[in-house]
Amino acid sequence: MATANTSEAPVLKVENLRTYFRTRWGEVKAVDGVSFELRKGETLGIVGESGSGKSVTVLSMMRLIPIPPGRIVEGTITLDGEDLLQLSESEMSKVRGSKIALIIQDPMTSLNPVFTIGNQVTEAIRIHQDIPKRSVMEKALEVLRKVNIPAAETRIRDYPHQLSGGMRQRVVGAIGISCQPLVLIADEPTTSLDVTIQAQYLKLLRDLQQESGMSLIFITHDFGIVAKMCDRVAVMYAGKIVEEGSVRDIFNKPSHPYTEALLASVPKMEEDVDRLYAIEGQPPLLHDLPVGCSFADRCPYVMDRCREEYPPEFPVDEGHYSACWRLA
Amino acid sequence: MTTPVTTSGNGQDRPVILEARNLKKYFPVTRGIVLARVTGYIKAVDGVSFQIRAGETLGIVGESGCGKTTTAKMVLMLEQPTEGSIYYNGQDIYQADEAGRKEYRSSVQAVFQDPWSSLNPRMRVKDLIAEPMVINWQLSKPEIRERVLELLQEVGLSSYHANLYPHEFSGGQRQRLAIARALSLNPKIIVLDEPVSALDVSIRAQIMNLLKDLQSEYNVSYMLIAHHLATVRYMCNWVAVMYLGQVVELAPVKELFDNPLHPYTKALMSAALPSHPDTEQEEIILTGEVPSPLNPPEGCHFHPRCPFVMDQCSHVIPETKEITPNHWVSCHLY
Repeated sequence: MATANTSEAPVLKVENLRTYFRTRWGEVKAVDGVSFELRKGETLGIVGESGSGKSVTVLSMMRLIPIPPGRIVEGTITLDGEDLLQLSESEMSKVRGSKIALIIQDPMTSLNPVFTIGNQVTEAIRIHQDIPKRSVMEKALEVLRKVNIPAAETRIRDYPHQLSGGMRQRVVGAIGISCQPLVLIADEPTTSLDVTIQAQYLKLLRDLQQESGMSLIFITHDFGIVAKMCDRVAVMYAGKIVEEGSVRDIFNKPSHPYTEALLASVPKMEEDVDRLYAIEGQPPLLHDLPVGCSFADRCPYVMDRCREEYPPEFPVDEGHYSACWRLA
Repeated sequence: MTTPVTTSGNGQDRPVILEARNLKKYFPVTRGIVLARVTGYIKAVDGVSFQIRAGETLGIVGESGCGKTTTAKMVLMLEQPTEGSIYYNGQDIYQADEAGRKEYRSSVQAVFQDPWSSLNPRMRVKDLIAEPMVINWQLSKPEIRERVLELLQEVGLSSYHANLYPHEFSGGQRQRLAIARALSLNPKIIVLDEPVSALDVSIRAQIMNLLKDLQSEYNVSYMLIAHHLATVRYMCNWVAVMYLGQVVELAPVKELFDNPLHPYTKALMSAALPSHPDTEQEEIILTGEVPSPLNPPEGCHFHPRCPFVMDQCSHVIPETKEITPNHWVSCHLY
């Protein structure tokens, strides 16, 4: 693998990504001008509610958007010096799984129920790594041990239904890391897991990251995961990143009203809260976005300007940006 | 195992309206089709006791398979307990006559996790909300209509919503409909089974605040089943922590969060996600997974995963003790 990157050059750079879907209600701008960078060994959290475009961003990066109805209208996704959007489908399938890998939310549907665990773990290894047939199994056992599957030798012959939810998700993780990707994307990896199993899984991901130096992207709606795992955070709302910064900047000094409101609306385990702040209203419909800022209708600080023009990104601090007219 | 039967002698003056004593639910595991033999029992709930007081919220926390939903089903009379009893206003509901049962059923309602599957997609909102009243109350059509509109108002929806179908609503609005339906019979207790976990983050606070407002307005009690500890802290007055069919710790909410005693409660709290990146957390990562309730470990059910395991834990079942007033725990450490 050509990892000539210094720790300064980003491993992954997404610029002005726009992914639209044609629906019967009109064009849906699911991702509308998203840009971010990811450095080696860094963990980025992309936070947002359903419909904010976080999963479509990920699927665009993996080039897994169903075309039609979707299409990537513009943008560049530079991974390891290569623009993924310029690759042919066969070139992309060499990158997918080997340089950039994805763990999705529900391990029940991401594993094939009619193939054994071994079969599915070896698949990625056989496709992407040029190693002799007999050592493929060895390699599969090695990654299964890495994700702490007990008795991997026997588990490798099991079918997905014979494993518990936590184990299944670890198998999915094993497939994800089997080819030592530069970037591992985890799309809500723990929402279907119990709390104590979630804690195990997050620790595992962190250990794997420390060992291999890969970069992680966490897609989540849970600020708890962000607080625990991430170095930097991008908050998405209605297809756009509204605020981006280091995890401490975001928690200590949220500058976009949406980030501020989201953080205030989460109950805390450490303290008694009499009444939670609740954001009024619903997220806007993506095929019918208001002119100007998409959050204007729910924003307590709304000004006339917000309803006329979408705010550009304003710097708050170094590496901390927020798209809000209050900072103009 | 015996869990607390009474939590008397406390400073709380609210009357107890529902009490569960030593509830058990065993599901037989059979082998063979024609001559089926029972080969074992899944002890889904194995001796659970708790009290629900008027206008208060009891939270039940635990991982999947710990029996919290089965407990809720027994409270809702959807499942017959194998042993033990539930007292409602001092009366054993399983000994009550037909009329008594009917009355109980209308005073205990439920709101479920997934508002996409808990509302009949073929019914209009007005019929959905009216259905419990049509079944249980002799009201005229205009009276029902009036009450439906009142309930919609109460949960923050408008009267024009009455003619729509569930698919025309967002998740948060649907959960509001489910709450309106549960409220329609003026229940005394509402069982809330993960009421916000299927909703978006920005909507959760709206629904939790609504539930709290309705509680203080109607003096209704909640039994809240949740796995998210911060939600429990925000919503509840009492918390019961369940593990493999048993209550391992029961305490008032503040006491439980400030001073958790059982190793499982501590592990749950350390596994919960922090609310700030600088939050200091004790890292207790439990190894392994919850054992099968078909064959629970001997002695204390938690001992194979417990970081403080002692000799006696593997063969002696711990008793439930009241360590400080109202704080009950079953663990050999105390």
